[in-house]
Amino acid sequence: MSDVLTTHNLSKRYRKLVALDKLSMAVPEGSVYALLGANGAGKTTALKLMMNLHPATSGEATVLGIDSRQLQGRHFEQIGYVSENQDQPGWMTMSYLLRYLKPFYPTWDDARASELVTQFRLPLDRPIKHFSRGMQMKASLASSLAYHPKLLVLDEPFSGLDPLTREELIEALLECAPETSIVVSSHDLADIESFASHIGYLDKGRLEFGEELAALSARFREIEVTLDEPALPAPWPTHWLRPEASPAVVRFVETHFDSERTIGEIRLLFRGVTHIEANPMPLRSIFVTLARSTQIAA
Amino acid sequence: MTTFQQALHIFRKDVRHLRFEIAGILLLLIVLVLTGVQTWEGLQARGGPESSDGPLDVLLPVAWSLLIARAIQTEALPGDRHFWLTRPYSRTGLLLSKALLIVAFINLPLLAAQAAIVSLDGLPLLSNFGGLLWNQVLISVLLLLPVAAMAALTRNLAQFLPLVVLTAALLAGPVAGHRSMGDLEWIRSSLGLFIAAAIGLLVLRRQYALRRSVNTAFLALGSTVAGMILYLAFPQSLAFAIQSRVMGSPDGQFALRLDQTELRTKDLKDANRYRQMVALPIAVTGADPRDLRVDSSEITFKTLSGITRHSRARVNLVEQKLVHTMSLDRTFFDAAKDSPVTVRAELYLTQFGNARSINVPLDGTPVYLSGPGQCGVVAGYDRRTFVCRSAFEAPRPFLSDRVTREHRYSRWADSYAPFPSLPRLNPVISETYELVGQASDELAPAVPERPATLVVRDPVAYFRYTMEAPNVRLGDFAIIDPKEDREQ
Repeated sequence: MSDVLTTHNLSKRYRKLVALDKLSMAVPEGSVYALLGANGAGKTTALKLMMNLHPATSGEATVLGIDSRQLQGRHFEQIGYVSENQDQPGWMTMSYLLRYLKPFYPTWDDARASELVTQFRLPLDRPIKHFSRGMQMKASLASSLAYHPKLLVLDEPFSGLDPLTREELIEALLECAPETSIVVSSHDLADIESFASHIGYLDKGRLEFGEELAALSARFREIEVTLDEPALPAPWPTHWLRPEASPAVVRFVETHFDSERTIGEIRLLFRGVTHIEANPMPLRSIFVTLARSTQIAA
Repeated sequence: MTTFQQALHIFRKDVRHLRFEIAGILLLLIVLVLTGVQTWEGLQARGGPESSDGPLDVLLPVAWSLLIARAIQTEALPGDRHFWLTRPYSRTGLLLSKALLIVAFINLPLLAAQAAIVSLDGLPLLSNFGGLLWNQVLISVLLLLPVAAMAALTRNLAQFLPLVVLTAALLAGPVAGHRSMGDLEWIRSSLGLFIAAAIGLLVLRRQYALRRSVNTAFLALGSTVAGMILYLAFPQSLAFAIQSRVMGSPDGQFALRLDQTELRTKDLKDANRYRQMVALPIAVTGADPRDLRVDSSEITFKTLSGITRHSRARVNLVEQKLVHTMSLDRTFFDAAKDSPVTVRAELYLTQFGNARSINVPLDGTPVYLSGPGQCGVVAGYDRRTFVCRSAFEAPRPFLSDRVTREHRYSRWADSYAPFPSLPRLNPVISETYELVGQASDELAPAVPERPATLVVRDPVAYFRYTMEAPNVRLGDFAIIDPKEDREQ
């Protein structure tokens, strides 16, 4: 499986502010790559550099085999970009928008466009500027999925949307995978978890990790150790995060969970271990753990 | 879709989007035609030409500017939020679509409106076709292109309008306040035209190719300032050199000399205490002095002891001589009047030729002559006047026994410009002249009058001539100032 999007040391600097710092990542074909991070982490900047909306300060990105700095015109026949910040041609009705965009795309599919309009319950004869925020996002997505793009880039598509609209968007996205590879930036972790196949975590412009969601979920565990003699070992392993100790129980997050190795390590470091419990963590908890630990480190 | 197909597709979208703005512009052009047409019969009925200036001179450029800005900013170039940036738009196709819109709804309708006015006014359309097209070039380069460039640098009207006002304010002062080069002004105007076109095209090219708005804005600002400096500092000597090259020089037999054969001395005892008038008659050989016009002359007097005086002279044609009259300070004159002085005259001259004439009946029937245009007599409320009108340029000067020379020159009358048009909306320019002779005061003369003969000449040479006359006795050329003479 080849990569539809790769970046190598992609950086963006605004004077002294480092918005993106040497981002290197790869989006495999057919995957749904979720770029996570707190506000200001550099997600939108990364996507804009990939789409050639801004020039990178250094580094490079390749999108569908094309250097992102050359990306324009016909290259977008196979790329869809939907952003919460995008200005749509508000004077157009939905019907006219679809009619207008159709000749630009050789792979435009009228049936798919109609299907999406129906699925999203978009009024065809109303100007887009009179649409609600959710409807505008759906209109943008419908007009980007109607030509079966090979790559769909979504920048905070769920931000500020009601749960029902979010669900509708996710359904539409799930339908187009794996024909379409998706890169989505978001901090709506619960939604991402339901359909992302890969996760990248950005913090202060740096990619802390990027891997398959399954692998990520497998290596993070919330560990609860019951002890006879409560005491935190020193030195504390760096891959154990957020330690909490009560008189008989120690809790922490293991970031490199391996059943045998982790238990062995616990027994080695703690004395009087009576019980060990390793619980899988939802993505939200992993994200919060990472965010807090980087805040503490900072 | 090919690039051109895409351009047409975007063009059709813009027409749909901007249909009300387009309709407004077409309506204004209809008003321009309806209010601008003046048939010769209508002109007779009104007793003279009406001013072609009006609110449309402001309204149309404003409407055009808004249309251009709205069209370009529909796919705005600065910023990163516009939907088209991540759609398969060809930048060339996009630029072409905007150019198509401007041509289709600004240039062509204006061309049609102007052609209608010229035709309905009774002026020949075919011989004014060059003016019609050149006027489009001027309006495009001086208005439409800069407006398009400013629209390409801004995201919306809220940014565009202050930029236009600021640019106009910055340029208006120096351009309006600079010293005119007179007949040579067209050379500097052409430079201004070239600079405007170069900056406009540079901005559009950079913006549509690179979308580096801040860099391009600084580049445009720097280029505009440099262009203004170049424009304002353009040396008259260079303009003269260009004009001489364009127009040519007289043949080798041409010569000027100070005529010392008929000296007219005056009794100077009552002359002005501080100044002394001097008249130097300069004889011409190798050309008919009536075909010469002195555009500028500077006379330098140098005494044996090395004292020099420079003076600008007023020139009149008297007895086939170019008489240069000037005023010298009394101290210098008294010191130099009886000793040999070297007189050096530097003259800028225009020589006219290719004279052609036409008779214009004074019964109100108009006659068309290339240059002055459509000419004829118009009966006003209390007197008759002579009117000439032409398209895109002010009526060319002519000589006539019955019609006085034009009493005023249009500011734009660059008579030496080889281009067939000035930047105008209403193409027809009228000039009113005085009829001379006894019958001119009568509204309906009882006796049939002989027609007025108009003689039109072309400038055939433009040159500088330096003449030096040694051993001149200044006292021989002193005259009493005609004003002082009258007072006495």
